[in-house]
Amino acid sequence: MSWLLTFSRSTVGAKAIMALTGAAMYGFLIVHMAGNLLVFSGTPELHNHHSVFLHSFPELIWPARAGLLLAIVAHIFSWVNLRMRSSAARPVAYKVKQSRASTLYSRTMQLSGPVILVFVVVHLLNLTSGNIHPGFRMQGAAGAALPVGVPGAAEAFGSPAAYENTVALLSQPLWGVFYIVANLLLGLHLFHGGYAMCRTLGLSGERQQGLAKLLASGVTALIVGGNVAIAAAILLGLVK
Amino acid sequence: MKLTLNVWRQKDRRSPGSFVKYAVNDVSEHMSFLEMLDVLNEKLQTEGQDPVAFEHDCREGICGSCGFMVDGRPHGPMPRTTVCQLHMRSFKDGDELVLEPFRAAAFPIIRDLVVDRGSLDRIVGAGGFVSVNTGSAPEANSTPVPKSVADKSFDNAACIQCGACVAACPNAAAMLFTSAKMQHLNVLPQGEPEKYERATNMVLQMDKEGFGHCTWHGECAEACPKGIPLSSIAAMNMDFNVGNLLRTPPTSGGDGGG
Amino acid sequence: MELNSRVPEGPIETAWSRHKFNMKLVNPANRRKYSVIVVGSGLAGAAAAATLGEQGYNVACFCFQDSPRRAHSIAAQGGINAAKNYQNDGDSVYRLFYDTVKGGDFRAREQNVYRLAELSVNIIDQAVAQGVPFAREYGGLLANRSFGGAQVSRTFYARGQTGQQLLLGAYQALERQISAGKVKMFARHEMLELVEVDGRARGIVARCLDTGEVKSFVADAVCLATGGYSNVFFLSTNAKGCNVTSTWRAHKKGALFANPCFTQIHPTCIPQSGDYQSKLTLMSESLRNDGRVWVPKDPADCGKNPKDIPEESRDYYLERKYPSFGNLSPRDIASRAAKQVCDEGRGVGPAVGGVRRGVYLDFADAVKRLGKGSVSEKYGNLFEMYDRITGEDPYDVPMRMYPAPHYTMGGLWVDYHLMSTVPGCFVLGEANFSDHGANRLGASALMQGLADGYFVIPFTLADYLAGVKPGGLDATHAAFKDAEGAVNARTQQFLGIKGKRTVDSFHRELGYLMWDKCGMGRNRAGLEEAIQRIPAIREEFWKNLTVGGTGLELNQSLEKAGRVADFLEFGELMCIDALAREESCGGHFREEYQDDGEAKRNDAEFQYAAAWGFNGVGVAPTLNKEPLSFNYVKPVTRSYK
Repeated sequence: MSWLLTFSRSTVGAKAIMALTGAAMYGFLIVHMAGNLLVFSGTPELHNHHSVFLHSFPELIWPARAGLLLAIVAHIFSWVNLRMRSSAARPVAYKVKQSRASTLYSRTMQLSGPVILVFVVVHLLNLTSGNIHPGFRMQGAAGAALPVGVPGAAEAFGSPAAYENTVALLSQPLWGVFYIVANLLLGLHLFHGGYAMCRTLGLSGERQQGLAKLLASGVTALIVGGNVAIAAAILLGLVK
Repeated sequence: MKLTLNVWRQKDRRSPGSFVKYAVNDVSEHMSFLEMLDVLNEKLQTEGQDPVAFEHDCREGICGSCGFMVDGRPHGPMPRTTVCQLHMRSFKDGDELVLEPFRAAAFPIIRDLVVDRGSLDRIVGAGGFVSVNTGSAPEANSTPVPKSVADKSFDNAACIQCGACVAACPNAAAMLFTSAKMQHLNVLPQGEPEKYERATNMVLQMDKEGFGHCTWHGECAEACPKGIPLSSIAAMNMDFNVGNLLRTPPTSGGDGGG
Repeated sequence: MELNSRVPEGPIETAWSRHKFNMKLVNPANRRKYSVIVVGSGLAGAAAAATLGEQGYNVACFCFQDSPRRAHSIAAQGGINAAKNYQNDGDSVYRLFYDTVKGGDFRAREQNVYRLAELSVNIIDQAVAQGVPFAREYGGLLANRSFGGAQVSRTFYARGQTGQQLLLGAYQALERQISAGKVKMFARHEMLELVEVDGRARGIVARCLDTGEVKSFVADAVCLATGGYSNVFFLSTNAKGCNVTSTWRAHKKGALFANPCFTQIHPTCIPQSGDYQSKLTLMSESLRNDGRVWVPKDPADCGKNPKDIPEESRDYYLERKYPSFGNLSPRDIASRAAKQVCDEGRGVGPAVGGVRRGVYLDFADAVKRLGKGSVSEKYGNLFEMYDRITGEDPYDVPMRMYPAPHYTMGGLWVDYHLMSTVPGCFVLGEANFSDHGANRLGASALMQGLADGYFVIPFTLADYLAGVKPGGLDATHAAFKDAEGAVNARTQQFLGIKGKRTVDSFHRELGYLMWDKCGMGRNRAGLEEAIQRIPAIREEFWKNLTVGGTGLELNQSLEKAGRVADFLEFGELMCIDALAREESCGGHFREEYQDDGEAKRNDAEFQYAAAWGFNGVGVAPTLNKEPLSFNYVKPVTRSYK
């Protein structure tokens, strides 16, 4: 397996790992966003059922969580490795340096990345563990939300009341705005990341360059648009 | 016209450097940028000072010797133009310019604006060739090469090894250079047999030299005086990834060693 | 000195094959015992170093540039000739041989030229196998074009950068041998002395330009592939670093210098725009296929906007004087005609030193006839380059052109084995004198460099090495210590003058004098004047030069000082040769010997190669003559009327 080590340590290989792990996270985000669109169904139970449904397959959900965690760790690890190399590659900075081709997206990758990491942690504390939440509630039988502090029903596998928790959190203006801003930053990262992913994996020839940009912007718009729509709708009181 | 230059002066590889300000008068708009520096150097020498060292040779934009930063851009403000072909009509009276060497750990400064780009030669030496000894070539027309393929190869072969891509890259990466030298050969039938080994060896040598990675800003392709496209890097990635993840490398030592 | 050219006897068509069989070989197992020095990394040097490395010799290769890929072969634009006859238009090895001998105005050695034509086909095969992206037809096969007035399409090309692509092929082969450990590359090293031991070339002394360190390198043979000396004119199309140093220093150690007055002036270069000018830029000759050359009839019109000069006031002088070839007249003829009209005061463009030196190359008719799109397709990149340099748009204003020194046919005298008169010192490519006679055909320089490097030297060097014992010497030998001492002493001399004038100012002074007296047109009075004045410039150089800094650092003024010092000695020899050759042939035009502007060759008295021996600086050199015989191509007068 020394070839794998050589590969992952090389600049091109490490970048490929970032692209592959990025692709995995892209996939997760699409599914996550699609599931959350259930808040628009108007029936809290449906949204809550979806969460219970996912939790009813521990043999799938734990490996998936582990895989996602591994992807995040590999993504960050590769980035740190590459970042250290590129700092070493130019030890003395220019006195004057003009940028002619880079974009807002490409330049903010290293800012948007860590911000997203912070956001993910906050998001987990908000809605998965409930450590940071104005009134975290669990589900009872048939997807009904229980009062704050009451543990969930056995048949709901201790699932949080996803719908009620989300609405309670995002209807608070500060949290609502925070989620919207975080998602827009995510969008910056996803757009350049998606484009870079295609090219890093070598899938993008001269003609496909436009295609890569189109694909990256389309999927980014879908994920960010969906997420922001949820937060905005709750913030504006359209979903209660 | 009159110009003010802030030039990086550094005596040798070890000494620290600093910016020194020079005024250059009587600059004609028909001068090339290097001729303007010639005029400055003539003046410095008659005043008993050391001339500004800068690399140059053909002064026709093909040898790739010249290159330094003019106001934060490799080869200066004109697109697709090396600094030897840049003319003073691109500037105006009273301009103040900063002249700085290409900065990268893999390009140690030798003196003033002169850097050591031997790392680029070593990347070529790692695999940027077709293993064909003199005399063993088949008849030239025995392998037709579609025009589109020959053109694509040529687009990459146009690289003049000046190092502007490295200088422009925020990560001081040599991705555009390495990919150009690689894709020049990889797309041709003559280069096909060694395609994946070439990709692996050249990328690993590039890493060993201490260049950075690609973050797809596209600064390199923008700065390239010969217009090497960014897609060459994508093609290099493809060859490296396929070669390393999907293919079994040939056993080394062909004479029954393994 | 009796010059033995060692040309094989017998029919010319089989001479090289027979000779190859008769030459001695070095057993593959013994090759690693021999070491070879190659100075220069252009087409000839890189090809030789790579090939010798592949064959198993220990090779050390030197170049003054920071990378072997930057050698000036890189700048060749047009193409490379080869007798492949892919176009089925009647080409053959014999025809390429015939054209080259005739084009050289019967001043080249027939057997060398035949071998060159014969090897031309192997070069194309080799280059294609290396991945050189030559132009191709849609069917995927190689494309050709006719070049420089040739009547067959035998020129292979790679857009406007055939030189770069061929050099990259050789450079990549060289890098392959470097990483295999068979060639040791010394970039940023300048050869400053040839070292002889027991009458054989046994090494060189070189200065590392990065650190200033002066070092000896020992070998069993030395190959010089260091290009031409056009920079003796200061302004030329050569790269700034091109110099005569290695060949001149070998000359001072006994290698004869042949035909130094044979220089080629290229007719289409961008004219000088001011006194600060550092070099001239060549524009491809292909422009003359569609552009029309003219100047105003009346000198009073020269300052006017060309658009305001009516048709009847224009002199299309090439079309007028040479109705059958017109604007496509050969290089030397077109160049001289341009000089003539400018000397008459009818030149155009900015006046430099009081004289306008430029003629119009007008595309207005071509645009009318073919349309702007079609003209742009053919010449777009050249027009862009012109615009970039001059700030003028050739679609709108006619281009201005003037001839410039471009290539030198003269060089160190070599025999059929490419060995100079110093045993073990071989000379390849433009640095030798052998194949182009008095004038080189377009697209033949690349051919010669690669033929010498890939296909000649591997055989002839083996023949030499097989006759000598390898090694047995190291750099502690007195000959090396003496040479190092001479280099160091010269460095100290340059640094110690502490005068007022810069190296460039002396180089410019010499260059203008050479261009004026020994350029496109030469005459006795002018040459005698130059022979008087050069020693005076040299004397002032050694008294009033300023070189700052030290010898132990990157010191570009010091490097230049060494090169200019050699040009100051060499320029004198060039004028002496031009004075001695009392005829006009090829690039050498003696104004006294002409028939109404046409060169008058004198075969009865001057059908020889003039190989000069060095007797000391400022001392008259010795002329040795190698008589030339033409058994296959009978000398005729060139006429393009």
